[in-house]
Amino acid sequence: MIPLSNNVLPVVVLGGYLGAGKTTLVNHLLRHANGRRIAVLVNEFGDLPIDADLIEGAADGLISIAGGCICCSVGDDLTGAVIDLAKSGRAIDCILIESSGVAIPRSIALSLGLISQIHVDSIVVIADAETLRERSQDTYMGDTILRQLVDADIVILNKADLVTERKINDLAEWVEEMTPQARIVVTSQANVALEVVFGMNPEAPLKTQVNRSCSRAQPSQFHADVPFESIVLSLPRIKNLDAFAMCLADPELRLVRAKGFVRDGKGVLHVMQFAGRRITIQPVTHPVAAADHLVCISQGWSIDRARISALVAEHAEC
Amino acid sequence: MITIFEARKIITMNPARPVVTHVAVSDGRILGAGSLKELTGWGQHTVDTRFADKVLMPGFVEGHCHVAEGSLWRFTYCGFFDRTDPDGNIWKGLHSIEGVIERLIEANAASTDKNQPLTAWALDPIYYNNRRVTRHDLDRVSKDRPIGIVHASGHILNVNTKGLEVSGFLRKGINHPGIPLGEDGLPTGEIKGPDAMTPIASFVGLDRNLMAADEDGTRAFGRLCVRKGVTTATDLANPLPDDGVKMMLRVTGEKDYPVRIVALRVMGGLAPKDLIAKAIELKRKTTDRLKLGMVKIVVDGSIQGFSARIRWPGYFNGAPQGLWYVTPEHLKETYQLALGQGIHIHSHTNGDEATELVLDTMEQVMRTHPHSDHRFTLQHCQLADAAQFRRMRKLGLCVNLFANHHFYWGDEHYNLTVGPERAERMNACATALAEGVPMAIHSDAPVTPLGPLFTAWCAVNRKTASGRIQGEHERIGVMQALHAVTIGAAYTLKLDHEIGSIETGKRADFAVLEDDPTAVSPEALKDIAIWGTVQGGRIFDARAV
Repeated sequence: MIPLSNNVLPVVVLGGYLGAGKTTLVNHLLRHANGRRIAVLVNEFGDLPIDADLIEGAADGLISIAGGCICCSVGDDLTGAVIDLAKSGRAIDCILIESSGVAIPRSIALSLGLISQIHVDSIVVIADAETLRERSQDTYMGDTILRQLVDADIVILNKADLVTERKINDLAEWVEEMTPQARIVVTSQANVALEVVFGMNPEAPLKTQVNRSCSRAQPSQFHADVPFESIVLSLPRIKNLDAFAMCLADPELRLVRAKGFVRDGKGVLHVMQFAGRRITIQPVTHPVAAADHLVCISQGWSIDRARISALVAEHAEC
Repeated sequence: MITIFEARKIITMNPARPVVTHVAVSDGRILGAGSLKELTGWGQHTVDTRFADKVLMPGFVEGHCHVAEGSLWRFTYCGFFDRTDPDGNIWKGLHSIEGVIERLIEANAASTDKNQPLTAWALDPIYYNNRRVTRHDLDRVSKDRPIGIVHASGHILNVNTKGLEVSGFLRKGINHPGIPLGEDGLPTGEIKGPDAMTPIASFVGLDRNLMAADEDGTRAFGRLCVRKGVTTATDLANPLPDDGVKMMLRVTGEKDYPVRIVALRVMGGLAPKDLIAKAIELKRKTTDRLKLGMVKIVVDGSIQGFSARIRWPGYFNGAPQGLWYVTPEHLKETYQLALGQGIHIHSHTNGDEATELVLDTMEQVMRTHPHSDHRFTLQHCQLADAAQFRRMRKLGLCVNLFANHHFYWGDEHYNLTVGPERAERMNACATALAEGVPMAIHSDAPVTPLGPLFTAWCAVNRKTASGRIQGEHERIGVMQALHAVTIGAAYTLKLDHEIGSIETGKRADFAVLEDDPTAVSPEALKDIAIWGTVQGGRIFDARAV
């Protein structure tokens, strides 16, 4: 994920109930940060979630992590902490908010949206595939857990190894019904590609992690542990960027994310991205290395290349 | 050195000797309460007759307020009701938005540094037919200087156009439920909820965390306590950073600091085990005038903010269910650790579902961590019903009900938030006592004004701001209410062995009243004038602090 402009930091809000795997996911992302300098702000009532071997040092409540990442706990004043971080001038590429088990991610995202120095990239909600349905019935927490899911741009159904394939499929369909605009990925041990959470770097699409899955499953079914794939589209000028983005983000295409630099009908270069339902299109002024490309990512079983190509052709400026 | 104070009447709250005329004090503690003849038996003494025409009571104990009340008075008061500041000035209530604007114009003219924002507080548009204040209203005060007014609830802020401009919010396209937009697509200037307020507040002169006391505010709070007869007050949601604790230890330790502060560490973002470790660390620093080591957990939001968790059938106006601020898992773990290590917890629950969660959690935790005298206390607990009070009794919980709320927002609750039936049982003091739950009542100052006699008046009369009696059956007697603001509140803080009544061995803490609260009509309870206090044997004349 690269900033939309020089001074605007992208922020991902990570939600989910206790035990869903937020901590595991955070560690996984830090471990595979691959050069991205991630600032993790923990808004949970808990220990800072960082694995000991990742920690390089700690001072003033801030943990330094190998590769330029940092992590700190923000207590009650999340907005204040984000403002401070954005203003600090610290060299970071993106912020990940690990929200508390009772937080409503949409409220966090809306509030962060008020801070001019940042840009809310997406809401990612992780859920425990084994216990989600039962938890959603809980007398006290059920409605909170459902609100979290409904808010998501991307839902990670974690711990898929603990349930049958059949159950995962039912669960994914249930989640899809509840939040039809969100993209669902299925995994175990929170093992998702960095790009699922933070998006791709379209400046260097070829370096993007590409795990081509060899055994393509039936596209209509959800499966655990199918690797993530990226697809790089070479784009002509697009007549109507908004309409094009809307079509690409159609839930039926099951693209988890897309990002790239696209020219409109007049040849003006724009950065276009979406995470689930959340679409952003903005003109770019600075020179980019990889213009006229769009990188999409999805879980391997679901990419429909033919349909995507048809869409591009349909929206091309003749 | 023994001093025997003579008074017109001393209401001791000690049932064995309920009313006496003299109290003997030595080393800041009470040698005895009785007749002069009885007390002379203690030996050489002087008789102090300065209170000969006054009525003494145990110093009032405010079981739920915030020292930040003292800090707010540096801003301009814009409330609907008359309110006394720490220096004893009575600020007249403002009965129209026009009145608010006029006061701000005066404050603007009077202020010496016009480069600084103009900040005000205690606005409450529900008393102005809910007519919302806009930036255009405030622009009449100044177009060049950022202006901000915090509402009485503390959860809404109004700013002028300059305030929006300097904070970067005078722009179109803002999409946030807490920032309503005008027809021109620009914010109206009303900023709702802490999340939306944070990025703007500092530009209109408001610190991010108003709940952390500062030095001047702590001193001002002390003066206010003297005027209200308060000798022990809680600071119920302080984050208690190290430097804040140092400051509070220093200020409360000064020779003339007039009040004992019981500061609870708010859960904040700490993990349960870190929170309890922090409480144990703080407990070691406790002094007579700064009690540390207790913990506050916020379980849900507020009823008038529609963020309280309430049980079926939910909000009267159909507003969606409120918010949890803690998970059941963290609540349980914190209770377990606290019971195991002797840490005393107060839990904020406004809605009855939040109360139910605390009851369920306590029931589970008590099976594995039994404790015969934990005195965990439910704070606010505004919507509890009789069945919940019965469970509290069984589980050894105390309750501190928000009697003042009934007066200030009772009509709102009746008409809008929870509807007539539940509004009438809100802050059910009579039921709590009937079911045997140890009870205190509170102001939550600065949310409502500090003043235990006013709080007692609220519980006794149950009048709302519009003058209706709401929930007649939940009214309590004057003595019950006075109990709640003295020994009752002391009990919830585990300080009833030291304060809360006038009897041998306790701290010489007195509220010095001009009249007898048990002799005036219950309607007049709130109007009793207060001369000042005696705290730890030290005399504080409200006119001189």
